[in-house]
Amino acid sequence: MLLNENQIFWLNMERIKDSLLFSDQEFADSLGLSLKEYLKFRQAVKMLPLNCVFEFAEKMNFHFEDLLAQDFKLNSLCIKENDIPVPERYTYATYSEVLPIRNIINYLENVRGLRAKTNLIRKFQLTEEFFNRENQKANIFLISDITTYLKKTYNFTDAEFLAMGHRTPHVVKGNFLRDKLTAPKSIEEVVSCFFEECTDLFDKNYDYKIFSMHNGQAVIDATPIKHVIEELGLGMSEFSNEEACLTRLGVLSSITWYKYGKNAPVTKIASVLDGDNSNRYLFDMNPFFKAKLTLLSSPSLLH
Amino acid sequence: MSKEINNSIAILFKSTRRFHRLQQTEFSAILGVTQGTISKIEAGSMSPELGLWFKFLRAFNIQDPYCFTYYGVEFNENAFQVLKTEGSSLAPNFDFKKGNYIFSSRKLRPLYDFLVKNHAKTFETFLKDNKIGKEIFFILNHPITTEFADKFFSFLEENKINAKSVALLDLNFEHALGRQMKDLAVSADIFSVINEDSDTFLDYEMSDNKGEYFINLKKKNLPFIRSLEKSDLVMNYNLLYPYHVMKSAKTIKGSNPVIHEVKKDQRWQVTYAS
Repeated sequence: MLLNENQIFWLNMERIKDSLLFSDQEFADSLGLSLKEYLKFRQAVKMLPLNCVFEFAEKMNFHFEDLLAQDFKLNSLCIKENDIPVPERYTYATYSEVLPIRNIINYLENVRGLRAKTNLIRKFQLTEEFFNRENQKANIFLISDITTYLKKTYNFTDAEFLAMGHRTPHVVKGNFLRDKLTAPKSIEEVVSCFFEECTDLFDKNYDYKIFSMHNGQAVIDATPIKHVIEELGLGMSEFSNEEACLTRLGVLSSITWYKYGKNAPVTKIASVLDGDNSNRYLFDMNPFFKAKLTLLSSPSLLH
Repeated sequence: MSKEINNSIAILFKSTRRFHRLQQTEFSAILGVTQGTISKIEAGSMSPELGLWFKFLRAFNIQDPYCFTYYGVEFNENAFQVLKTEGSSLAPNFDFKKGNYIFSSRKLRPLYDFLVKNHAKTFETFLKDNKIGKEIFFILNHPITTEFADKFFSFLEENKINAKSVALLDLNFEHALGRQMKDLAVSADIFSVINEDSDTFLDYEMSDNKGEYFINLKKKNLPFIRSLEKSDLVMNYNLLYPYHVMKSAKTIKGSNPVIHEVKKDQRWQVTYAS
């Protein structure tokens, strides 16, 4: 049955009232209305005045225009360890660092401005503190939902999702990653160092392993970790989405930036989204051998 | 807070209506409500229902549903095509048909707010004498011509605000920069926000050194600057715009900023205590 906007509005308002366990009187109070006024609007299925709705939405930390969305759901659970409110959907199986999401938000602000960033944070009923807090965790749903939102709202292209991942070296705090990835002497060592020692830093949803490394190519497997899938209650092919995968690809590509000042060509050759057991990446190390090849072919060395 | 929201919506409805040269009856017909409803909303005595607010946004192509939080509205660019054929209903004495637009109302809004607060009576007379509807300052991306800028800045000079003293003003950017103003935590954010305004005729460049920034004038805008009678005051205000924003956002303390011309008519440096 197709609902008109007034009906959708009241459906959402009832959902909110139920999730807060409010009586009609309590709900009217929270909206700044008398019970009589509240019931009058409800019975007539007429939307409430903008000032009421706006002030209520500000209090509850959501976008008021979402009240006209059919799939709106108010999330109001707080994480136990601290007082930053986080929607319930993102509070369990929290094996992701927020670093990749910081990349995304940073990119969004640079290309679309501060308002777009603020809108995104509000859309997900989060706060700036959540993204800036050290060691803050989230689950895989958050990055998937954010990337879906960006595609839908701003028509972000594949290239843009990749570019978001590329922002890692410019966004990550501290020198750990820089120190780790500039110390190795060769590109092979950079790749080994990252996938054996660093992936845990940003992603505990996957188990990363170097499958093979020869002829200037490294094949990397990223296998979803079983207990994470179980905790999230998902099937393998529901683990993440295309856009989040592209962002992750961008992150992997950016690991060579620290030492070589450029990103590596990385392509995805297998995907759990297509029914494979793991994501498989082909990491091309050849561009980083060129300096060595040039040296060997130098005339002074040949004679 | 409700009263403030109602007052904001009141002026935004009126500004939109007047810009589009509509009577209340025509405006109410477009929105599917009675003229009495529009009259009450424009008087600030009634808040529109949420559905009516969205109808308003859609009917007039207004960009930001939160615009009532900062007393400012922005139309889609196409809405301003009418200026080239019919001029502006909010400033009929000024020639908008020539298209000599120098910046948008957003740039003048902090000065408008300052004048309303500190020189209310004389400013009201100025607006009346020049047939300027105050609503022009609430349409943040309404183009402003060099002629209009000259008139406006002449009024500032009559009230002892000149090219030197403009640096000392205490300006508020909450209305000009909208919701972003609450989130401006660092100077880098301020520059990205200011440069996001596509109407700007200057390009503001943050420096790696604290206490300075640079400004470049796009060559195509030089004739506009040269045509201004009040070019010193207009330029100084615009060169100091980021400084004022930073001061208003409290990312720097107020000091005596200094303007240096690095390359004649092209590049400037502003230094201030950091």
